[in-house]
Amino acid sequence: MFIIIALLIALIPAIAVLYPFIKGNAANEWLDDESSPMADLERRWDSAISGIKSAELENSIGNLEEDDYTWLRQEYMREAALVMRSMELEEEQEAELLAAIEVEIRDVRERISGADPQQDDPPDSQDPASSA
Amino acid sequence: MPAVIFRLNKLLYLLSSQVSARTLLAGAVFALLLTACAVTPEYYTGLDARAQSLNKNIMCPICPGESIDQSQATIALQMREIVREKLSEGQSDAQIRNFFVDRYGPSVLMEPPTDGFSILAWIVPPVVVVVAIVAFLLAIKGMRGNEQRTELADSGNGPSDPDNLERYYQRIEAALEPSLTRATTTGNDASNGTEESNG
Amino acid sequence: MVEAGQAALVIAFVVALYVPIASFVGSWQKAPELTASGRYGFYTVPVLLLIATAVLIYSFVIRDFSVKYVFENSNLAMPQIYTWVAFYAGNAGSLLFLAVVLAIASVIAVLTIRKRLPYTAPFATGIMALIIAFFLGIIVFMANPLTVLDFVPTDGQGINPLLIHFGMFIHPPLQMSGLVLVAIPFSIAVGALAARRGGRDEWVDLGRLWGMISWLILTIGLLLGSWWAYTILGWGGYWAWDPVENSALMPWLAMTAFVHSIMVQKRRGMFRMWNMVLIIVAFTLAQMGMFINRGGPVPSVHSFAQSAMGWLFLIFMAVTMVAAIAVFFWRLESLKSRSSLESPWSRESAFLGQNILFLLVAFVTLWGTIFPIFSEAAQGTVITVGRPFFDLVNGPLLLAIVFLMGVGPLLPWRRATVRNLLRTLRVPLSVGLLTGLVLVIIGIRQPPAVVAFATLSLVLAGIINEWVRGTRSRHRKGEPYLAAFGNLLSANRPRYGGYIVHMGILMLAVGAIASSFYSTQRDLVMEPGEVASVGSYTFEYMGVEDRVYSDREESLASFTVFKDGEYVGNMEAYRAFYPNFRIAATKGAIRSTLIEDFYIVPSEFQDGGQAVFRVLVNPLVWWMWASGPIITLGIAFGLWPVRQPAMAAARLPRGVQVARG
Repeated sequence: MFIIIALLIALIPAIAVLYPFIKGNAANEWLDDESSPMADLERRWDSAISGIKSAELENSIGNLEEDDYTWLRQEYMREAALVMRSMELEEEQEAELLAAIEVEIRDVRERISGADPQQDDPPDSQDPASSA
Repeated sequence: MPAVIFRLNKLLYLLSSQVSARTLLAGAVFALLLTACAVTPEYYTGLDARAQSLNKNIMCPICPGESIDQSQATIALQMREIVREKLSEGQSDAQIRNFFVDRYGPSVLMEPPTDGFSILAWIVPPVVVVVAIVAFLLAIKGMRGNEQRTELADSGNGPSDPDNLERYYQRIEAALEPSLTRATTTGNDASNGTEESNG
Repeated sequence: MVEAGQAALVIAFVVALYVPIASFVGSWQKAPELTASGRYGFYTVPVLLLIATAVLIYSFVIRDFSVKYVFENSNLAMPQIYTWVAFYAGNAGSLLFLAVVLAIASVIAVLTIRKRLPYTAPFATGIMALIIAFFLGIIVFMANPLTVLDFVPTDGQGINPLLIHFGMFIHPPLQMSGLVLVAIPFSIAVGALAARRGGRDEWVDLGRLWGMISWLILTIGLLLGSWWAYTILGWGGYWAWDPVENSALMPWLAMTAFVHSIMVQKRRGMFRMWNMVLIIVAFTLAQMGMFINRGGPVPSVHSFAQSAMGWLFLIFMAVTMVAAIAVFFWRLESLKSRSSLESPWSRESAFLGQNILFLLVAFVTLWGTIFPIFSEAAQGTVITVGRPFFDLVNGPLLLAIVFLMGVGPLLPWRRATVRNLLRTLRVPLSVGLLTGLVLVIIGIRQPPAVVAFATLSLVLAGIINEWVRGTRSRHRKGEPYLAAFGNLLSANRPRYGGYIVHMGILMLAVGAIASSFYSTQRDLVMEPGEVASVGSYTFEYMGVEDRVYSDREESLASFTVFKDGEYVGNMEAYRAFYPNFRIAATKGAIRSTLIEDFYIVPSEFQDGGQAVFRVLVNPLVWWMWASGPIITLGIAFGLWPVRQPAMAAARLPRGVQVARG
């Protein structure tokens, strides 16, 4: 009796644990990377913007002096602008990379379909370079 | 009331402009801490008061961690009686404390004694506090300029290149628009003088 | 039925061991099916534990005394509603409670980090699962609440009478939950480090969120515990610095430091190493708190180390600390700060100073709590480190923290000039000095009290001043005052949420200081019909009524109370004795107003009709308990997300409208 109950209960985690293997759709497990340059830039953008807002608030309240405020605002604006520019560069690079990869895939496909029309190419998975 | 505050304001302003600001602040904080370090407060000076403060300092031997003031156990009540008796006999606080220490050992007192090994209990905290303050000041000094600048992508024109970034500034300003902001990065609004910021 | 519960426990234990293996290996080998499998398995752990919990609760409800835990913690006379309390009253039950709470909260946490921190998530999940596995291991092998006795007793032993109080319905669960929830920001932080995803503040948003959630629950738990001690333990106080209280306080101190310094990391990318160390320290302290605080046979630091289970907890605590430190040093290079401190007069330095102060208080508390062990080892005699020590040493430190709470928010981020700071300080400082002066004039002379109250008024003045100036500046730009105030708050929710929390802390502080220094306490012997007065209260002892119940004998005393000559009501207090437990419990009569509490507790009923009462007038205690909802409100407000202008929207060329989703 105990065995039966135990088995029944054990079914719950068993199904859960085996589900990804059966379904096999876990490919997008790591679609984004929280450390990707883009994500990093988003975070720095956020802190630059909130820096500007804090500086404005603190200046209007009077905790931050005019000179400091001007300097700080310039610093934050510069940071935000650099972030934006980096992001554009990033996107350019990504677009170039994607274009280059597509070219390669086409090449390989042509070569293979020349040799064996049956074979299929596994799609290339993006693995963003993890920083050292 | 506002007049008093106003005058105190002026006084402090005068003071702050004479004495170095740093010293003033430091002195204020230091004085604050020093006065707060005054010894355990005496509630009143009557026998009642002495009884209470003694009771709060003597542990109930069988109760876990309670003073005879806190505990409602019979033995605690008896001990409070003894304290009261001895006080009315004219014994001093120290004598009464020693009486209990003789009977139950030094653990009957809530404070660690100041002789022998136990003096460490009192010495270590202030020493650690001082060390921590020094460490803090050193850390403040050391933290300045000690960062790992993750360079944002530079197109090679050097870090300060306002021309190239100008087009971004406009867009960022536009994005910030919904909040109550001032118009430009360099503009100076004359309306916010220093006097107004006083609450 | 009970077998189902036991099966669920064992299976949950096995799953909790599988999860970290699958998650770590899956991450390492880049096998997404494995990590997904681990995660889905993790989702089932609360389900399994809830099954076991349901079985236990059901056993209590049907009074199945064949279950050992039910036998030990309930009886036929116990009202059904106390089943909830009985659940966590004992050792085994409290462990199950901890496991269930952690499991549920962890799953919610994993759901939040899954999308935003895809690489960190498996590691964080694995760490949370390991912690749960430890609890489950202890439960399954040493302290199983579903163990069955060989015979079926006819009645149980009953619940500890001290636990039959409304406060016991919420204090222990909240306290224990607060302690165990520290595991979540810990797992996220260390998991991020292990996943090589910790060097760029990726985890900070969610670390802050879960840090503040656990902080809030810890705070409420501590407040409720003090409130419970005040109303039920009958000595008129609420905090005695005893080891159990201290072990719950220390993680709170570390977490308070953490939730502040994490904001610096979020804004400036600084304090990366510091915050890692801080959360590791906080979790280690939380473990110590958990293990000393559970219901059961561990009432003091001494007995903690004497039981076998105590040793296991110590070892686990050491293992997690060492492992976390190892990961920390392994990834140390990645933790260098992004920016540096620009000025010692900045909010960043204030936060660092505040952190140091909080850790100093934690150190002093720890030192005082474990010093008796050193002393015993060194010279053989047992000494006590009690309240007077802590009050004296921690008092000034806490006051310094409160002072910093007033000055810190006046400092802008990154830099400020000292001249400007002094200018902003003028109003609060004048108010503080004025308050001190006024107090001395009206007769309050004790230096610590005067300084403390002056500091509190300084802080309050600082906060109000900020709010006024902020509202004014918006008003000058064209908004009506009320709208300006509302918009000021809602546009800067984290900041003003913080101010609200600080107001709550002020309420707590004013109550604590007033009642510490200015309580009036009298022990009086009274006969029925006698009238006495303490402070402005006059009261008549009407008499005592002895009642016998199935599990206790109660002596109920009643009073008629007058304040300043006016009748304010009747009050009842009792002293009960529980023969089964050989415990005497008292319930004091408390009349609480905003100004003060009038408090009567019976110490002793003597033969011959006389009774000894302790009577207290405690000023401003109400404010301490009222701080709880204010602090909660502040946290909720501060955690309400603020929408920043998105970079995507900013990048579109001017003139193109975008629908904000």
